[in-house]
Amino acid sequence: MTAVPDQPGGDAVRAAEELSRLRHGLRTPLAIVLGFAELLQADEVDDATRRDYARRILEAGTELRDIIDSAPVE
Amino acid sequence: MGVRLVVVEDHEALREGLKLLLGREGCEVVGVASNVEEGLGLITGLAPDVALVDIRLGGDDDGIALTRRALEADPGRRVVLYTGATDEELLFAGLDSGARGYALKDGTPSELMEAIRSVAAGKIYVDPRLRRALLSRRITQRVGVLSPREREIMDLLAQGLTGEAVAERLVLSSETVKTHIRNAMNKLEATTRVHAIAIALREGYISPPPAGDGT
Repeated sequence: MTAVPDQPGGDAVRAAEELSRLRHGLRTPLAIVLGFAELLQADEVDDATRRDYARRILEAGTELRDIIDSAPVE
Repeated sequence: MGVRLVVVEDHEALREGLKLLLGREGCEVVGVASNVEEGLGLITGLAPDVALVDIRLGGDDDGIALTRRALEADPGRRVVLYTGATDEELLFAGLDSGARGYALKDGTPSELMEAIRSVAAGKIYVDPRLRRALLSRRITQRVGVLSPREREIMDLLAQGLTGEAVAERLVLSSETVKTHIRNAMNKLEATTRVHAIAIALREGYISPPPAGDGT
């Protein structure tokens, strides 16, 4: 990546880009949580499948937590 | 019959979840891919009714570039872009690439199905959360804007050439020309070719034929 000289407002632009990346990053694991929760709720599932869905929800939840933890405070 | 679907998504769990959820909703997921090259191969090889394509496919892979390449190869392909990003610029880039649908990942499965069914039926779909942006930026006009090739073909039709003659002039197959005309008619919401030409002229997408050329 090429360094871009600082310009007035550059911090705000970077912050907006970071926020956009963060929001996008959150939505994929969120979609997984919602999708598999819906499958779990709606389908007649056997124990093995239920455990697999629960594992995927747990993994996506962990991913969400990691993204939130790594986000800049400001 | 269900919609035949190819899913291009780099996140394995989401890919699997979409396959299960959309299968339950009556889609036939005929192929899944995780990157641009695999996705293009499936879209070309399986000719699905709709391709559901994530915009950010990891690394440098980009669903918008995939869409552009798929439509260059076959302008009749129908693509729904599926993304977590709500930026207006990405939305514009996505629609400009020729995608007919733009669905957000925080939508419900039934909203995603609505997007897929709409696009399969030849309509354009944009997630309801982004419609305000569409209106504010007059994107509705941009959606309707013809591609350079569509404009070129409509221009020749306006000059009185037949579809066959246009195909010959542009060294394209008749089928390709028909597809471009059909896409232009959909974008202009026209019911016939003549109607499409009239709208294209009125909106300034093409120029009136030169006076005195007999057409």
